[in-house]
Amino acid sequence: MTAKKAGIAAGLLSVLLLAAFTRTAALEQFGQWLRALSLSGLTGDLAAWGIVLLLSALPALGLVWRGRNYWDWLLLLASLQIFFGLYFLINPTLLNPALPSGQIWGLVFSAGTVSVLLAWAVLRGLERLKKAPSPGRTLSLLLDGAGCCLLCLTGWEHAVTLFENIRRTAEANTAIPDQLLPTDLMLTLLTAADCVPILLSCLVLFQGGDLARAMETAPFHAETVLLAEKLSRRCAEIAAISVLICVGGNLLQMLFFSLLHQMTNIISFPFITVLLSAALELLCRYIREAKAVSDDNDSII
Amino acid sequence: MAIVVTLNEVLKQRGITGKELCAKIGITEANLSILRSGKANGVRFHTINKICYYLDCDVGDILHFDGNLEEPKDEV
Repeated sequence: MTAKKAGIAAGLLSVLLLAAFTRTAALEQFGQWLRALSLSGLTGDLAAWGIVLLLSALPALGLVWRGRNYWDWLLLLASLQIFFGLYFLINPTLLNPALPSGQIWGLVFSAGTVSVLLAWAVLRGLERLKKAPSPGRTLSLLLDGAGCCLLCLTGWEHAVTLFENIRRTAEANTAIPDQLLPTDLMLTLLTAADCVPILLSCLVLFQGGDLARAMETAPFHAETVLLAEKLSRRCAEIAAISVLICVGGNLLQMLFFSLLHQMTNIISFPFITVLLSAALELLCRYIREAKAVSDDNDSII
Repeated sequence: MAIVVTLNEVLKQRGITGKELCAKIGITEANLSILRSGKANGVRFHTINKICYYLDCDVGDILHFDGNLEEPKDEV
């Protein structure tokens, strides 16, 4: 498997795991199933406790097994969170009875546990990054994974937001359902336009992965400089496209003001993209200067 | 070149060929040729050390200063 494919696979896996953890309805059902098991008799009660304790102990096992650094104590916190999270999923009546506790607790529980486990993974990853035998390959994996995550998460987020906006507009304007078509079309157009810079950013991240691999194998090669220059130009293009899309979206909404029942006006400045473009231009200059130094060093006998 | 390389003379005196010297000090014949022609941008102390050791000579035997100041052609 190439480094690029491994990075993309890691990104997809992260998205799937995150999606699985944030399915609060599934957690609620799991809590209800455990509750039913617990109430089925002594054997069922013991089995339910066994499952809860086993699931709670899983992160803490990592602490016992490999815990050496301060961030490994986060695993203990995750274990406690899982224990109390499952306990209150099984016994939702012990929580605030004024709230739909099962649903809200599922969200609180999953967000809390995922954030702790992610914090542990990030802190551990940062430490391992320092000791990585080939930093270029690690960076390329991270960039490919990040590109994949960005692609999946923003695509999903934009689709959900679009359908939610269309639904809200329809709910808020029940008297004029036939006149909502321009609004729905505009919302779809704006969402699609908003996706363009993000898709291009994903492309930049994948190309960044290629650059990292090239820098690992041939840091002073002409092709590496070309890749960095191409990436810098692409960043500048994305920045230009982002601001132009923003201008276009606002202008279109001004033009069709009287036809629209919902508007989204944004003032956008692609700060990160502009910074990235400048940083890559600087990197190109450094690579060229480093190549000159390397050539000069090679000419010394 | 303000620094004149007189390695050829020392090699003749010692009766050693360029190829033999390359094998002893571990540089390529192309690099030795550049060094002998005086076109090298620089020579490492380590290389000079090995040349002097294997030719049993002093630094002044292989490198001479002609008394002129020469500006570098291109600075990195």
